[in-house]
Amino acid sequence: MLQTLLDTLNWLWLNVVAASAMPLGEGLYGLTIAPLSRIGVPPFFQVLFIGLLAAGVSVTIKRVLKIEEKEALFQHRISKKQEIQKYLPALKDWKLKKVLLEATDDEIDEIYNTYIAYKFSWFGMVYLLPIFLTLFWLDWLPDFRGPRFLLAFPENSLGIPGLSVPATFFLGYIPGLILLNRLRKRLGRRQGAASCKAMAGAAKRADA
Amino acid sequence: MHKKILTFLILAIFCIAGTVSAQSEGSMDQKEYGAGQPVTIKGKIEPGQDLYLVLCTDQLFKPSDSNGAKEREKLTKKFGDTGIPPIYYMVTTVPEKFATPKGVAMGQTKGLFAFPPFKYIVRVNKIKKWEEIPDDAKANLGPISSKKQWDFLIFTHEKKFGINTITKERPVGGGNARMILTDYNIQKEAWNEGVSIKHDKNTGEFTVTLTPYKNIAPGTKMAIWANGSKIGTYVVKPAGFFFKTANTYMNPLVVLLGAFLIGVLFVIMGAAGGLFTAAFQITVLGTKGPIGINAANTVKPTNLFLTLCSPLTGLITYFKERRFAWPVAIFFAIGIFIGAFFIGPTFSAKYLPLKAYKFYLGIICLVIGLKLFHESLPSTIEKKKALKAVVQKFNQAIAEAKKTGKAAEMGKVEFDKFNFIKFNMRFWGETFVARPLAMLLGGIIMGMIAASFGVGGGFMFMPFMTSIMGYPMYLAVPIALAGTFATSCGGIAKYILLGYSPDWLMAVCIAGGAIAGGMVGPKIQKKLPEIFLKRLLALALIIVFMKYTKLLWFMR
Repeated sequence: MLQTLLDTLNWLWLNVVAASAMPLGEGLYGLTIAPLSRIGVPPFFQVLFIGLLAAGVSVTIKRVLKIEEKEALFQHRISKKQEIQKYLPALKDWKLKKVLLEATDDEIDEIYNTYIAYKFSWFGMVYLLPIFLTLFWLDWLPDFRGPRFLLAFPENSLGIPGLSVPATFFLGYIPGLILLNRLRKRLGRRQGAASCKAMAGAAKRADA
Repeated sequence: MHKKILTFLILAIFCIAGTVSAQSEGSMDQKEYGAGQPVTIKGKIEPGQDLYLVLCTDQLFKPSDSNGAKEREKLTKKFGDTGIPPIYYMVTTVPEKFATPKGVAMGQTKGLFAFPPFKYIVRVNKIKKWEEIPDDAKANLGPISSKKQWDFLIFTHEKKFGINTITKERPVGGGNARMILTDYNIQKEAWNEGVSIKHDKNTGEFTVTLTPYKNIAPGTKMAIWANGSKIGTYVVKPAGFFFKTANTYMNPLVVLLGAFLIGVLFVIMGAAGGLFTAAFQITVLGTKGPIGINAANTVKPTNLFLTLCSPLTGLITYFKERRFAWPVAIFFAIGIFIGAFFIGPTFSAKYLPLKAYKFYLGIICLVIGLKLFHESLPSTIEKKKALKAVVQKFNQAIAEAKKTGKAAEMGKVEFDKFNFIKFNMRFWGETFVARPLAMLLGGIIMGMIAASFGVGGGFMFMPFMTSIMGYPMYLAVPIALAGTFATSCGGIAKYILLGYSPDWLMAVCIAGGAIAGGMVGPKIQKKLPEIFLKRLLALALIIVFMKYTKLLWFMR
């Protein structure tokens, strides 16, 4: 039974996952690292660029999965339940009041726990998976297997010998993420203002 | 003169012929062997001689080859630039020339816990010192020819740090890694199981079968030496998918499934996720780390990456809702970051190799196991309900304040005079005593401990704030989350800068499984008996404690 399961998993890994991941990895290499290498960009800047790209992927996933909307929905559900509790003191039957309070308490707890669990998953999908997959891909590329550090430091009191591939990646990813999120918010605000203007115009026209 | 030259030439020819005739020869039934598969070597040595067969990696490892800063420093200090094969087996008909089977004290031989049952006797094949090995045997050690190399080999087979950093093979019965081997019928010891030698001393013909370590990387070239001569090589074939950094064979989908179960458990229990992931990596997946890096230094950064996810989720919400009592939170987070970046990883990489890491992780498992069991008691459940009600009332107040636009005003921290030791502050209508220095110092210590073990540290932060500092839950939770976030950030940054990184694919699988578990967990949570599961998890943690501290003899 266990052997059959392991054999099935081996087959799935070799023939489905690995078979489709290999050409994908090679294709990505052809689109990103290879052109940069050809024009003589040093490996440090190549990895920095990949970090920026990965930040772009994270922001895109966040948008595609509509995570902010989903979060707002959960917050709305919690506050709705809390609203119900506001009317409970008006009840005269203390037993009923206690039962209702406990029931709504449990419901809020349940929604909140589900929300936390989902939030872990959303953050995992948005940040962890793109980070891990990109770093695995970089680790797999022969281009970065040679040197231990992309940028070596002279001996220092912190005992930090240099910037490895992951360290360089984060140097591109984290600022990239902050920058892209700010840009997205600014664009969102502008779009919001534009749509407000359009709506006001439409309202004026309708009034006229 | 001519006669002298002729005599010299004849003597030289005899010497060369003698050397050639003394050369051993051998063959293998295959040119490639799967990792963990038995290897059979047939050959011939000079008649009348004892057999000394060395099976080892063809490429030598030097301390300077290590990617880990602390390992490189420690090994270079001890062995300079000495090169040895990371995998080395000597299969011989005269094992007594190299090692003596005996019982030695193992486990916690020094430190706080150096007493039974943490300290115990294990039977090992104690390797002899270089000076004790007969000279005729020294000539037959394959690529080993100096005392320094032999000392390095002893270190990598007898010391847990050496085993977990270079050899990587699990010690037999909790003792030493296999090195000096003989036929099981000659010496009935655990380390000789599966080794067979057929040697005809009259003809010199021999057949040796042994199973080398199962997690040798695919493509590794192995060399075979018989009585001092290299008689052949073979290449290791993969035995499944090989995780390059974790240094182990495992189907990634199995990792995904295991992480899924952990994810579900984490959602149901709301605790011990980091600990279970660490134990899962060490015991189930068998994470070994690359050659030259101690296994624990691969497990810790992987774990910290995964613990980064959960605080991030709540933290942003609390920040937006102005629920940070910043005079307390900032000093605590700074302290934790200092501990997690400047002290924890450096201390841990140097002083917390796998052996010590597992032991203390076991102790933490016991503490959390007992805490979980306590949480499953009816009286605690009642208390928790009452506490939740208080927190919910506070949440309600926030919701109302937000509606009326008063949140910004109420979430404002007010104090008359800042004092580094102690001052009164008003936050959400209540007055608290803020102790910045105590929070900073507590943060440094706890950040150091958490980053050393590669865990978030929530299990320490909450009791510290509620029991020692006397803060209510609604004030403590956001600060604890900030603390966990600071541990993860500081720890990850330092581990990466020191040259330690997780196995990225393993991290993908663990994160993927945990994400799926986080999605499914809430849906099945109601259908599962929570108290029973909490107690089951507590039991599992106590079993992990017993295994990692080697409390019971059959778990060693």
